[in-house]
Amino acid sequence: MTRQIIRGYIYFENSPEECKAIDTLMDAFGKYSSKWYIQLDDTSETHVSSLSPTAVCKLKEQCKTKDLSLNQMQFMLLFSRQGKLRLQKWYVPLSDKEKKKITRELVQTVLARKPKMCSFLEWRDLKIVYKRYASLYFCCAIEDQDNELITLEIIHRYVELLDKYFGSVCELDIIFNFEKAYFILDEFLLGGEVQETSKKNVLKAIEQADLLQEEAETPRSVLEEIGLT
Amino acid sequence: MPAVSKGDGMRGLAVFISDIRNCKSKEAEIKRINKELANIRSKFKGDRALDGYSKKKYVCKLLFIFLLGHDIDFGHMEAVNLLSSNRYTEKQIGYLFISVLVNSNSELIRLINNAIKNDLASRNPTFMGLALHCIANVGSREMAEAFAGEIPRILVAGDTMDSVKQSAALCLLRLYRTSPDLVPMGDWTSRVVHLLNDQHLGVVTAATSLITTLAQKNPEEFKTSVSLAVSRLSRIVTSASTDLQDYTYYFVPAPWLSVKLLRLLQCYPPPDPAVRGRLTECLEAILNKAQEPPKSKKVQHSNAKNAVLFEAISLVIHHDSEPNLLVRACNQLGQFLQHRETNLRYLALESMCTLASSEFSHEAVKTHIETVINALKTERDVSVRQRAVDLLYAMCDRSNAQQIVAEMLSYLETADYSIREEIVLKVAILAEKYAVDYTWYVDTILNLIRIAGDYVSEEVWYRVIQIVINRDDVQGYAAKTVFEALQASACHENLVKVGGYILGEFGNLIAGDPRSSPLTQFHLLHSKFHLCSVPTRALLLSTYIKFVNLFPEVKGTIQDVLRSDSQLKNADVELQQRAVEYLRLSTVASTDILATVLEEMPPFPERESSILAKLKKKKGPSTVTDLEEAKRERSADVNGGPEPAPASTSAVSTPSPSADLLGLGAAPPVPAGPPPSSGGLLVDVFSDSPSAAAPLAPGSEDNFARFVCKNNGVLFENQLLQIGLKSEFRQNLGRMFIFYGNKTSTQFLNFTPTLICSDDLQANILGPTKPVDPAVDGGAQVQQAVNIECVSDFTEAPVLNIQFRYGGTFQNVSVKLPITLNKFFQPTEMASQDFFQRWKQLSNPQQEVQSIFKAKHPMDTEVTKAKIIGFGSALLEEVDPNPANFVGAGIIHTRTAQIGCLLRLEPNLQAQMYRLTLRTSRETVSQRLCELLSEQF
Repeated sequence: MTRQIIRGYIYFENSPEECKAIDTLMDAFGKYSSKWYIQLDDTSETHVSSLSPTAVCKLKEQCKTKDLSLNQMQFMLLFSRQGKLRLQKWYVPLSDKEKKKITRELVQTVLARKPKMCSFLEWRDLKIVYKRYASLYFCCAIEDQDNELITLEIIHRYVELLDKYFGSVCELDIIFNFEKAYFILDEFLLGGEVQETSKKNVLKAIEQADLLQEEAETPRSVLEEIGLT
Repeated sequence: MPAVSKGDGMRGLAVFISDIRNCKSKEAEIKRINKELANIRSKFKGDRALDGYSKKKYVCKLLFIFLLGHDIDFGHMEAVNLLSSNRYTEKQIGYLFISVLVNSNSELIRLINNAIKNDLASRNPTFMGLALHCIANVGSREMAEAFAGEIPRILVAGDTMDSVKQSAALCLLRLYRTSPDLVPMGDWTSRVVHLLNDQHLGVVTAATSLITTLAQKNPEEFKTSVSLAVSRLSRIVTSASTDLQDYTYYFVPAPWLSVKLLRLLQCYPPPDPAVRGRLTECLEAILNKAQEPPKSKKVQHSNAKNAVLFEAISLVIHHDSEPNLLVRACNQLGQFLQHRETNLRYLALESMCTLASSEFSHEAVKTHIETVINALKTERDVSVRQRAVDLLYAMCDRSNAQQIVAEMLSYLETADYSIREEIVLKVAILAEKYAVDYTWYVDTILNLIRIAGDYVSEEVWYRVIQIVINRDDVQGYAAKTVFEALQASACHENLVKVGGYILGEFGNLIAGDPRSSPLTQFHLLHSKFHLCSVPTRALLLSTYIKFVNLFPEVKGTIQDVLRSDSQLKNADVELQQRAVEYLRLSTVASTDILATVLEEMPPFPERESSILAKLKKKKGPSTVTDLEEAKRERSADVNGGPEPAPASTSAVSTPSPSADLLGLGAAPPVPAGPPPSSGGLLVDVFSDSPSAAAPLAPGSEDNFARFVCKNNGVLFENQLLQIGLKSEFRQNLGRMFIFYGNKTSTQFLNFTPTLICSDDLQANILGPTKPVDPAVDGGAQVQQAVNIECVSDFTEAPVLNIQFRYGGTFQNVSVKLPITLNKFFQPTEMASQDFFQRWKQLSNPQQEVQSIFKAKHPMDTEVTKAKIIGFGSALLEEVDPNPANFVGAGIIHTRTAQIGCLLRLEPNLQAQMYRLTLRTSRETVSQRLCELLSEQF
């Protein structure tokens, strides 16, 4: 049997009977992942709302040998030690409700971990890669076949970019200049993929933008500024 | 407040953020936010036109409020206006707002797309970049429709700036992921492949991501990317660490690009010999570098280097054709297994799992078994231990199964609760897969139950029984072992189940030993009886009757037990029924009949060893039908003769593992599951069974609908009262028993049920025979029977009204009685030809009623079949040319007429929809049946 997990979809390329049997098997089982689908043929796609550890155990074993790399980062979250969300970037479409639920669960899970533990954990059907910098946790969700270490360095490079831009960045910089944090992230990562890894190039792009705006802005009097708040 | 050093200090925004941070409580924060929202709203609505700066500032405030987790329902229009500003920062904030608060409002999407279109055409690279970022961030289908044609052109145009190319590549990737059908392949694809040769490494990085994704779906079209990727990789691997300038990361040349290139190569099989030689050199170089002393002590250096190494190992595993590289990879990972970095140990364990499945490296992986077992014992992080369990499972084969299973079992004693169930399953699978000696298998499973009984799922103990039944060589041993295990003062209920079942079948094999004489066996089992749950007790009763057959000498003792009040008058109907039936069976039946009825279970059909196959077969359609039939048969002889038919007895006496598994699997996800056995009713009335636990409002339609396809169960329940039903229908007549249970400890007074019913249906409470006592004692149950006759077809169900006094207050409850037209169905079997002939005869438009509706429950074939049968019609197999469809036929009986009915149900799994067609000779009947049945799926 050949099958591949592709972004939460399992494609079966075996006989319809076998597919059906697996389908039934998966149907029969409880709670696991809301994101698994079984594709029986070109047209029909069955949602498997639930899988038990047995099925997962078995499937994982088989899926691990045949994988495809259509993986990507699912989202990135920055939160403080107190669990306050400081930045959120979602690379897959999810409802606001789901986002809040994921955030809540994940913040709890990560904060509960001890300092010396490894930076990776399995969570739902995703892999979480996280690292703590001072008071902030940076946390990325990637998929089963993604490279954990390079994701860890994505986080580090982003921290370096923030650090360079703000000049020794702290949590307050990100709170007060959240829009800048987003702009920098967009220059570095786009659609969950690395766009530009050169620190110089990313910062050049951001600084050019800042320059553009400084030319455009006319200085404002203090009174005018207060009047507008 | 820190000084805002960079860019456009929006002072107002900073003040607002400070205010929020100074809020002492959540309430204060909400108050401050509401004040701000009111302010912004009035500014946006005000007469004075806002300048760009103010608009930008307010939109930014709204964004901040949204990101704090509050809802924002205005400001979208102002954000869209910012998009067309000529000022970069205004445009930028506008795009950011749109990216974060995607709104599917079609009018806005049109305006947004318009603004994006203008920016893409502006030839201003910064504006183009913003527009592309927005498309990539939103990635909606509407955007794909508007721009999927345009972006490839931007990507491959000669005069496009590098940074725009990068954005365009990833933007296209995002659109391809969300709407692959809208991204047309074409000439541009070959030009995209050549971006792998681009001078600018940023462009190459972005393009590689795009190509990888496209190549997965269209491998042929992107085949040329393989040799380009290899030569690019080769140049990176051989470059000195300073060659790539800013693309070198902590002395590692272009780690991100290297990982991506290695990932791209994993879309293809090993390349042609010429390219392959070069690739092998690269992979060897990467493996060699891992052995070199690090160029930096920083963790970033080792992470980046190892990220590339792990990806290279993935490629080696993917190709699975170079034994030399596979073994080298394995040795490298072996070193990591003892690395001081937890991250590396974790990844090495994970990566080795896949290596274990390759024939070339399986043996090499096995050499690390001691290290892995040690990791299982000493790692402090549960996620690392989890990986160790996975790896042990993956490296297990016949040669080391005993060791690995023993280690897992001993780990299980102290394992984290979160991974116990998975370990139990793994042990069960391994023990079965690699059992040479089945006594070892039996020991292992019994150990599992002893150590982690609560985590042993039903299928694990079913499986041990199946294997014991199918292998005569292990039966005596199994009987002896369970007998010994049961001696323990406290044993898990699962062990009692296994023990009961096995001794019931094979207790005779050890009965020769005076230490395990029949009577001793019986007393041992019976000593656990009172501690067990109802299903286990039911199983034990079956064991007892099997003992009566196996050991005539204990018949008297067992009959005494069955005859005792605690059995014969047990509050649980299933237990009571078993006790009554078994007692009667043991008294009336001759030895021959007993021996036939209580014969040893036949071997289970031999299954493939994998759990997958096991479950596949267990869930097969045949078992389902059998079970349903068995259940129907049982409900037929509810209070039947003293000698139940052998077929139904065997279903009762020894709960067949496959049948029970099915029952458990099918029932929970569907509220209106298969009809419960006759025993189910009283169980429901007396116990807090989960299906009946929810207090339902009087006349709840939901509860009513559940009875359309079944006849027994709990109709109503609140704090005080529970109403259960049991009914039978034949032709146009029916009888329904209503059970009223007083759930309180206080007496109900003036208890008066009345029935209100339309003329088309005659329903009379049988006054004289079973009058309901006007007082119902606390905890008591009273029963009432109703005779029903269907005069002509009807839609309104009768209403049962109950009035009583409880502790001085007057109670009034009204519920609809689930007497529906389909109860008067008589199934009709017919061949395909007959069916279609009749189907055509009923082609008058008034005779047909059709309904298309969304599935409310999981679309399970077997459940659907059970429902159609429960509905009352015959389920006709092999009639519809499409096997996925269901067809049924039957006759509705009324006093005056018989109405033939044909039905057809067409599921559409993709859309999760059904189409139901009813054809009957009477319009009102078609209509009503269609209404009733369409509510069921």
